[in-house]
Amino acid sequence: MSDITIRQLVKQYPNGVRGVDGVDVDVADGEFFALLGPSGCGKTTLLRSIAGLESVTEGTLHIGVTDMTHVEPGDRGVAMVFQDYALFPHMDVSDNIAYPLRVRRVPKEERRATAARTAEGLSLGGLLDRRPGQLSGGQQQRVALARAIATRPDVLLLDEPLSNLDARLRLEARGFLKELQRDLGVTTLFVTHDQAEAMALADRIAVMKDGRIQQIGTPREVFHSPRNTFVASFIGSHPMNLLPGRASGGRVEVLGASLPGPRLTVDVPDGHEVVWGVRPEFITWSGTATPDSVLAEVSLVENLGATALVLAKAGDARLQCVVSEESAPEVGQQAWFACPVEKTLLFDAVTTDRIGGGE
Amino acid sequence: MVSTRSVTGTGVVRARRNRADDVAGLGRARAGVFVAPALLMIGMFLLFPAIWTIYLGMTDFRLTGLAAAHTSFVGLGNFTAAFGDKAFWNALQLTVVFVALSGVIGQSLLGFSLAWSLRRLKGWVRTLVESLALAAWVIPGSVNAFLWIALLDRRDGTLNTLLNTPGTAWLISYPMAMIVIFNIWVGTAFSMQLFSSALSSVSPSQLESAQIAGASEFRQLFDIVLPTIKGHILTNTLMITLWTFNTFTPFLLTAGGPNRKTEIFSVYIYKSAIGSGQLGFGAAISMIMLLINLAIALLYMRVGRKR
Amino acid sequence: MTMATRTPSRTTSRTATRFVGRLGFVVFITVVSVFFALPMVWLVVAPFDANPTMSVKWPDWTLNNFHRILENPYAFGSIVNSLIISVGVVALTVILATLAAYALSRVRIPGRDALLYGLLLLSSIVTGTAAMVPTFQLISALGLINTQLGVVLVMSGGLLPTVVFILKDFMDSVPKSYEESARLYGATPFQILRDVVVPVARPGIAFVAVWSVVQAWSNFLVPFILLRDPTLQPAGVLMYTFYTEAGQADLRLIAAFSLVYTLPVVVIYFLVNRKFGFRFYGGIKS
Repeated sequence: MSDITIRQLVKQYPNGVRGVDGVDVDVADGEFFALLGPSGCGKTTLLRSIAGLESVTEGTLHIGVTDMTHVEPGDRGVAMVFQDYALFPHMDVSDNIAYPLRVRRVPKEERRATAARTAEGLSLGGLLDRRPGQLSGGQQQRVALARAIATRPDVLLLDEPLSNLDARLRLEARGFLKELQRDLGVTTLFVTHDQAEAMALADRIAVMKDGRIQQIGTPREVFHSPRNTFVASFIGSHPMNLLPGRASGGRVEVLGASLPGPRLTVDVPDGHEVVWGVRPEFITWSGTATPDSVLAEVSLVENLGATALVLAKAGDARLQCVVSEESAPEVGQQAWFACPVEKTLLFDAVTTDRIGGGE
Repeated sequence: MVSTRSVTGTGVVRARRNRADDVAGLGRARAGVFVAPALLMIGMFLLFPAIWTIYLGMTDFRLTGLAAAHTSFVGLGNFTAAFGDKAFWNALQLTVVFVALSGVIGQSLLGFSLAWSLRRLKGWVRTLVESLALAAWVIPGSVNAFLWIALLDRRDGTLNTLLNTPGTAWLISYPMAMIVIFNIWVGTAFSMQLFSSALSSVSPSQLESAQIAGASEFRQLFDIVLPTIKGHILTNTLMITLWTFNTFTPFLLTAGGPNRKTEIFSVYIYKSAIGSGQLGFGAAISMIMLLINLAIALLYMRVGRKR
Repeated sequence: MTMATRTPSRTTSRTATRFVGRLGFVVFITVVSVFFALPMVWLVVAPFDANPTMSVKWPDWTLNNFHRILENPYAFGSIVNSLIISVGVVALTVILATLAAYALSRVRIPGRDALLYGLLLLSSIVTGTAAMVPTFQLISALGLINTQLGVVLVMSGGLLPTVVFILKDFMDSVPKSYEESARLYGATPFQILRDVVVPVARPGIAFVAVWSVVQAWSNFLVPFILLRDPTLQPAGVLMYTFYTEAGQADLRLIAAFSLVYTLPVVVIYFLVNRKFGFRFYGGIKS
């Protein structure tokens, strides 16, 4: 079993800064797990702590049943692929892949055979004699992966695996990576700042900020039920509309209108300051007034291909909405925007936590 | 050559390369005038002496005596005299030992060890060690020589006090060892800096990859660092060789003695030519030295280009 | 078979290796530091000792030794000589090199890159030691033997290739737009160089000026072979005569003089190192 259990992990630097500030994570055996967050949020520090490249100040790390908190990087059963792949330029592909086996003093014939086999599995068959400098970006990535999986690690760590590839290649590599992980069944953690990537690849995502975990959940969970406004605005190709409002008798006063509030499991006292949130993708518009909709003036329409991003202003507040390209409104037009109550989320204005209930 | 792309108003992309752009309107002629004085100086005081030495080496010019007034052409006579001179071969042999021990082995090894040991430190320890080594390099030669004479003094020298070996005349009993160690002391900062910058070119993620694969520091050094900086090691060694071969400071320590036991090539030239006034002969052996320098420098360029 | 099976015992032996490694490191660094520091300690204590000997001992604190520099007929003069020679070398080198570097940087002269590398090659090959004989000959022939001018000329010739190379590099990175606008105002190339380029390239010029000063100040061989008259000799050569001339070496004088001679160079070197991170351009110091 190679599940990962992290309890209260802290990484503090000599100057007092905490890169990782008390993190609890459970990764199941064979799971494809993402660490997602903006730069400086601690995701790479956490990954490197799991690898053993950073020492842990407080807390524990278990891989399977073994306490690996202070174990040497080479002895943890962990393999890692770096953002720049870190292939050794003076060794050919076969030697690169076989290097971890060489360190373990695996005999030469066996090493070469394993390297060849692993390379085949990643479609690197004819490239065994090439040097890294002679390979394309995608090929280099696969060699780095091959080197990592050649030793059958318990845990595979990937540091921004797709960021060095150009956009086209990235989509291909995504699918390839997902399939590979599924076939191997190895517990995999990867770090990314790209929420679309995390959403597409991961079984579960940990959203991080300032060294702390904001939420752990499946892509669906973090998308539909974000724990706080940070997660709500970070996840999703279009940031969620988050506007200040006030609760009043089961409804919300926001955008100069009174909109129906979502059904909640807790009571929100009248007058309570809230943050009201609805994703742009769920908002629809109409040229005529509809019940429970907001009147706003369209100030900008961005053509996104099959869809259009509409920016509308209601007083000082701004609302974004994504509609199909053909049915987009005109700039300057007054329109009514309907926000479905079942997609509405409320967050506490002070704590930024989502007020419970909803989906 | 840095390529910068500039987009003009019409959206046309024009590549501007950072090559010579005569923006001040110098023109070739005036540029020539600007360059001429420097080239003249270099030509007169660097190039000309080197070439003239070929001619001089084939005369019997002396500062005093008959040949001073009547210099005659002796062809390769000086060279045959040199090759027949026992002192010549003595000097050459001593120099090979000196360069090998002090330069190639001593300075390189110590310089590299220091660069490798200190590579991750950033605090006062690193600054202290680097400063001490640098100070030895920077202090003028005549002062350095005297500091070592004081250290090695038979009666009051600090070395004798520390090692409890009173009365040992180090410079007389172990002269070669002393100049080798002296030269290592002076020159290590040079190789330490060279290797430090070579080490910083090794990508940290490669070392970490190896670390995760289970490689110890030693393995990382031999499997990754050394192969990566192989070219640097070669060029650094050649540079150190060139510098060590040409250094004159050991003269200030032992003046080639006792009994020519530390008469390395630079000292041999001085004594033969300036010391005893045989300038023709001195020129011939200078020429040999220039040729050796040339060989080392060409080797350096060849290796450097391959990298 | 997973990788982690041998974990616990390997980590313990690793920790032990780590400890030994760390201990070895500390020992190594200490030994090396003592090795470098030991000879230098005398330079720091003896000048302030009323009764210095060759050994390092706790000084009998005094500043009188520095007076002896003034008492010796040649000592103070030699420091002045060092200054004269250094200033001369720097002035000549910087001026000529700036002109040449600018022209080489801006105008496409055929074979320019080959020329620069050739110059560098030349200065690596024709070192002070290898060229001492023909240089001596040349200076004698020019009648400049035993003159400081001869010394300045030879030293400048030796330093110029490196300085031109470094300065050209700096000049290449000076943005050309300043010169273009000056030209539009009708400035001549020389005016442009003087009023626009030099001020902008000042850090680079300062760097090579300092480097040249250090090289000239510390140079022993050139003045040693070209100057006979002790009133003309710079400090480095005079220092040598102090401990090789017949008779008892006056340690008080030697100690104080060494410190005075050494201090400027050490201070400059460390200041520049702080600012620029000194790099060894060809690094050949004779």
